[in-house]
Amino acid sequence: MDTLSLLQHYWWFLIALLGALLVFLMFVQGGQALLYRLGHSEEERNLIVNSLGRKWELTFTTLVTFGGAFFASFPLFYSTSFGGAVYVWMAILFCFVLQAVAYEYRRKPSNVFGERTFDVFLMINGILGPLLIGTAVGTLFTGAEFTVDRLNLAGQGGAAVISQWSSPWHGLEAVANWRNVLLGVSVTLLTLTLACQYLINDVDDETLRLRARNLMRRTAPAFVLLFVVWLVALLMSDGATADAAGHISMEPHKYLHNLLEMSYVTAGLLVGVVAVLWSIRLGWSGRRSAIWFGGAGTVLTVLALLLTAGWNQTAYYPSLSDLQSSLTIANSSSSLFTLRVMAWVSLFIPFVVAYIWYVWRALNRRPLTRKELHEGGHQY
Amino acid sequence: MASKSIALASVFGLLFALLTAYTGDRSGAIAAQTQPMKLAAMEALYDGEQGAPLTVIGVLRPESERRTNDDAFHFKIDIPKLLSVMSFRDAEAYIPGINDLLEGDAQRGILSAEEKMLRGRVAVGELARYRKARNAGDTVTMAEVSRLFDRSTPEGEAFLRNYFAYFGYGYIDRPEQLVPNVPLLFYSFRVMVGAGCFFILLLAVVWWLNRRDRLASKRWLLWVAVWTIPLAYIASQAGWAVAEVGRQPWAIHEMMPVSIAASKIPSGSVTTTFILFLVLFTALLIAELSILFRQIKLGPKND
Repeated sequence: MDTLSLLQHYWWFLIALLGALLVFLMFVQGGQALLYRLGHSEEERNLIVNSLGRKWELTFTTLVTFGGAFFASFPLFYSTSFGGAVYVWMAILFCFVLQAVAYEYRRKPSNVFGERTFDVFLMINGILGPLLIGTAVGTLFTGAEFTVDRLNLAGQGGAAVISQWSSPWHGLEAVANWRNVLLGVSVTLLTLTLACQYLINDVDDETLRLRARNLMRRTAPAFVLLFVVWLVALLMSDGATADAAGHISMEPHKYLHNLLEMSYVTAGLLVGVVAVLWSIRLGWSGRRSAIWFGGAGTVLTVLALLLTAGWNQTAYYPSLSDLQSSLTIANSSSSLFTLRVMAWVSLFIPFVVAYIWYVWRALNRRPLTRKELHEGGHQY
Repeated sequence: MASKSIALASVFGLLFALLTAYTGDRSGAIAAQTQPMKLAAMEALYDGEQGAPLTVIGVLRPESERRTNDDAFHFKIDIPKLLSVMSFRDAEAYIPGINDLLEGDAQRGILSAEEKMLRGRVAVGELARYRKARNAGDTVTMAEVSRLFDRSTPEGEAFLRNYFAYFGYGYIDRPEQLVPNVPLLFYSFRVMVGAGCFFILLLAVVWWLNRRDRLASKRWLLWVAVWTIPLAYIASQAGWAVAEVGRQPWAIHEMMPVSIAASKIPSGSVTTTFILFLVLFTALLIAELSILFRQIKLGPKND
């Protein structure tokens, strides 16, 4: 493997890891979606919001970093997808703008729109965020309607754009594929499950813990069922693959072959799935440790799936309009120079992760109680 | 508590205002070397000069009312040679003006806009020739064009240096498109720099008086400080205007004009999302201001 190819694989790994961390951290969205379902009184809702409020910025920052790293390392994906599937990305952006202000504004005096409006903002973000992101990520496996031709630069005006979207729906057409929607709903159910596990861990309140446990008993089986259907459909499906010259063709059972050919990825997937199942087992009996298995399992599972999407000469963004326009990590990356410079910068990532870990531990040293809500200090 | 907070804020504010002035000076010097048109437009410098002065403040004549040889300014206050010093650290350095950059100056090695556009069209044309050959399956022509883009051959090296270097000019129709909006840049730049100098002065005075415990008695100065808050946002916006209006028409300098870089999305959907953002952010701004004013009215808690 030459240096460029090595760096392309390295950067796909980093993006996959960021994506995996994001899916785990979207338990924040899951918790927001359940705000009124779990919190029956204002005090209970404040408990939930303050528990999630200690973490929401981590999720948000991871989302932004994921987008930024994707842009910097595979700019052709960014310009193709963001410039084409624009309605989807705008909808995602909107529902995260709503979230960003809702935590800080909701209980401040004179916030104009009232606490309930900002709680509704939190719920919109909580449901739409994972649903839209999950559906959009589904297209990394099922493909999207675009064409890419660098030689368009020989044209003038609008014809000179390298990436062009072929559907007038500009991304919304993704919901016409049941596999995309299935992944979106699965991710949403996973975030609800993780949220229950997180709240069991982080809130020291028997009523809420019991309610979270009971709710997880419903969301978790639904998630497992839908996810298994999605996974089986993935392994049965065809995938786009590139040969050594970059020519792209369809291969039956491509993703199954990827798992058979990359046994370390399969191992990660299996360990991840088992850990998630174990977390459900723990959460079933209301154990506080469930979230740790749920979190680690989610990260491993999503990491393995995203590696399956991009490694092993797979086209991680297949084009349904023109197969040869499909994006692979080899034909869509930044230059060797850019990837190399960024690779050096990426060596700081472990320090950032260590800092996040430290902050997390400091914030979670003891679970949140109702008493704490009535004491001073920063409150959401 | 207010006094302590002012002590901290004035020191940090002063340090960062000075640091910003320093990086701003560096940016200007870099722009002089790499984006001469931006610098000329910022200074409304139409005709190049050796030992060019820096215009501290001035009022521009509208371009529509101006004839060819009229002065660009109704009036202005200059500091002699300062623009040359700031740009090239040399009082006698030559700064090309907008007209020099458009018309070219063979003696100083400046190509005219027409010439650059011609060369850019040759480069874009080679790409078009390659595309045509590809679509026709003409591998001989494809190989011929590929050689032009290969830096390791003398032929490729010459093509890249003499033609591909002006690639973006191939999309430009008229030389005037190469000139950013001069009045907007000229005034924005002065608002930004003027505000920056004012911040340095104000922060230094506040820091000094606060140290001597004489700030609280100067109510007028405290009011000046309060009214300076919006100025920070105005200065920041003016700075963005200088950066982004000044770079026009380029998305990638001399390689890709903004018109070519834009996504191909119906203008209606861009308008729709713009209006949605406008409404949402305006609503959130109202909430933000309302919360802020309420908190200010409530005053600090005495812990």
